[in-house]
Amino acid sequence: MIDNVEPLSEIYETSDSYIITMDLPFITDKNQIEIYAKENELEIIATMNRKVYWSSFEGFGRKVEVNKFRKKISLPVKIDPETVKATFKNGVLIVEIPKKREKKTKINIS
Amino acid sequence: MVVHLEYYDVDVVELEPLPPNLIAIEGLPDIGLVGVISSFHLIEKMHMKPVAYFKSVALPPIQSVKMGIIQEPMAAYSDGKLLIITSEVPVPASIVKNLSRTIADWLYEKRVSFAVSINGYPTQRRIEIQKPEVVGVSNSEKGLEILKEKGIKPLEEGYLAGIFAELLSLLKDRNIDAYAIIAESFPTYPDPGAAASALEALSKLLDMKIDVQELLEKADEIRLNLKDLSAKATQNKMEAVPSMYR
Repeated sequence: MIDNVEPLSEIYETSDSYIITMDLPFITDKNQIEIYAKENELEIIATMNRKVYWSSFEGFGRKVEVNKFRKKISLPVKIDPETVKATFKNGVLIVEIPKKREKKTKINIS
Repeated sequence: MVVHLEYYDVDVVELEPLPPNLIAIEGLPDIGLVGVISSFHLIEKMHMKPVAYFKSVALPPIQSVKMGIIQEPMAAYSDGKLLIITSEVPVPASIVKNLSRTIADWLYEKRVSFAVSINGYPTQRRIEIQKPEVVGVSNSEKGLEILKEKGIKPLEEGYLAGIFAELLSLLKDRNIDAYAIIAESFPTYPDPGAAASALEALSKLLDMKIDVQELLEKADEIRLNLKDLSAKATQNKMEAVPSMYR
């Protein structure tokens, strides 16, 4: 049976963007990765070159065949999907999501 | 938020008598699982067998099974020269202090010649680094000189946090020389590349050949299979160590 496995990922915030990194073993080329962005969600699917065996604590060590990583990430704020950038280096995917620039209104004190 | 931790006892159960003057290696789950990956590579390459295990009510109720027989997940392995302490389960924050003390007392009782901890040093720029750099720390002036002689760059300044930091101090109290070998690593992902760099430094320190080629060839497999342990080890470290020292 072939299952998807959820990759390890990390999200952190800089002053002007959110950065998501994702560890993708068995992925060697950016063409194996698909990224879909919505206003409040990011979905990443990465297909391995071959099926591999994976076992987890939750599965009592039972090995299952996997060939895909899949993860949906709910974003803390609304984003502009067109501005999302991604790079893949040394087995790690880096997705940079620029923060929307919000217009500031100066309030006069009466 | 105030987090109240219960501190639980940890016992060590010996499976067979151990000779004196073993070299102790601590590779418990921590940043990048550098110690765990290094330990299991050595255990496998040197055909080591379990010689003791650690018990605590705080450990998760998990037993690994090898060839139909349970094997304690937090254990010590030996080949008559090295004594490796590692774990297939994360170390709960509630036993970090007592586990460190149990290990230090046990190593003192077993009259080990010295101890080495293998660890990761988290860096966000790890993605850019092909070969992680390694630094060393000792708990004595003599140990510092040995690190320099063996070509291991000492960590000039900084903070150490976790079991290995506690062990360096507790072993100093017991007059046992101890070292930490710390490799640049991913903050939250299992890092076989960092383990390979750490093992190269360990081979200099011990004057012992350690082949890391197989470890690098199996890097993808290791990263995939240790992802759950890595996630849990990161979470436990966050509970055990104040954020400014992580």
